[in-house]
Amino acid sequence: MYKFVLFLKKIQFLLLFAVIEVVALHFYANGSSYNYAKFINVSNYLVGDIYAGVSQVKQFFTLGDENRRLNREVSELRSALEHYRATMPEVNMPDRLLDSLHYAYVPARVVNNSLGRQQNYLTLTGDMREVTPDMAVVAGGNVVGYVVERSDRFAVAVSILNTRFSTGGRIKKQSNTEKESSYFGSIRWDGHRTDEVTLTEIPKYAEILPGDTVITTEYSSIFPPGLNIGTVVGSELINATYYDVRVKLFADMGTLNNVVLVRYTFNREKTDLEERARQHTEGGSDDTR
Amino acid sequence: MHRILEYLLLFVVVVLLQVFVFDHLQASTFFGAFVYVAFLILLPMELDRSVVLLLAAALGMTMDLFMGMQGINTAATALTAFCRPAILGAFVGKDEAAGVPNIVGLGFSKFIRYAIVLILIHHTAFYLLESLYFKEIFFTVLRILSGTLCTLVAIYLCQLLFLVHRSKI
Repeated sequence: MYKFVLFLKKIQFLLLFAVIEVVALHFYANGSSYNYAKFINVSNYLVGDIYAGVSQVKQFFTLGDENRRLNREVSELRSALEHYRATMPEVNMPDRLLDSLHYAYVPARVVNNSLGRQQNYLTLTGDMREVTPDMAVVAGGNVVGYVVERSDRFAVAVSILNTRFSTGGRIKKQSNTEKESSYFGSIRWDGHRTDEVTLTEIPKYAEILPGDTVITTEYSSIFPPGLNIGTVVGSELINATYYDVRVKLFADMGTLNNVVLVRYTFNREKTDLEERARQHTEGGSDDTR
Repeated sequence: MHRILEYLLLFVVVVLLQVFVFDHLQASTFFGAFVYVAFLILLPMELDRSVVLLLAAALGMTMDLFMGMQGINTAATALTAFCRPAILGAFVGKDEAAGVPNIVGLGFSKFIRYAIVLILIHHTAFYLLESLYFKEIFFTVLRILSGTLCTLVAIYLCQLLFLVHRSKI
């Protein structure tokens, strides 16, 4: 026994190292995107207020630009509203119509944002009562990320600059043809440049021109269709079967400040229905009727 | 006792510098400076290696909590602390290993070489764990090298600050 204790003392350094590494790697290996966000949420309880304070100071210096941007957005929305008023006068919005609104909007502020990692996240603050996971994060009409976790005062969103981020993207033609292209693929970040993402699996017979706009598709249950993502800067044919298109982001991820969170109000209904349909076909597969 | 307080202060300073300054200077996926490694580099040479290991784990866990990363910082700092005695032995020699291994204690070129090796170990562990994607190994190696350079410059500058502070007193 005494010898054993001596032996333990001899290898105590190695043992300690092994224990620490095993614990650290255990946490690391069990880190899914979901766990990750949860973990950040816990650390926000401790340091979120400090981040919020620091970002408030930083925000002060960009107030001018921010005001101009908001002003531009307000005038665009005003003119769009005028357009609707002129085309359909005297529309009293019945309550029933309100029920059928597809998207709900909540304003929020970015308090922490990383760029240098492979899995980047945004920490948001604001009125969190209306915020739920799977809300889209939109800055100036451009896709920025989606919410995965929220607490009383903060929410954590997966940034578009996260190698686990994925959504659909469609190429919109810039030219005079006005016809929307029906080619779509999935948007991913390869972890390299902080201003570029990849639109992958575009069929090889698609016509892709630099300058074309990439927008969100109708198939996402998170992002409203037609949101801007970026512009095409180049493409590469992979295995002679499909294109990987390099897309320059519209959003300046380094200077995110005020954002809008968008919830698809029928998300629950849609996913439930899809789930039931899936169960239906799976259950029916061994049924030979 | 005096020294414990000094190192406690250093711990707090490197963590705050990392979280509120250097994490926000990362404008690209390269150029990540991990100035908190300075704490491990500057611990006294005569300190028991198990204590160094425990301090490294504490530092790593603090950084994991602040950065919202699960275990990556802890795994990297623990590996660095594990390799530290061997590296110190190689650069300094066992008999003269006492005092603080900074520019004054080791001399400029010896310190830089010692620091580079430790930072490289830390960054290799950190970036490999972060990407875990061997298809992109060239990209990861580039990140390790550029990150090491940034950290070295940051730690060197911070040390100059501390030395200036010392000489005034």
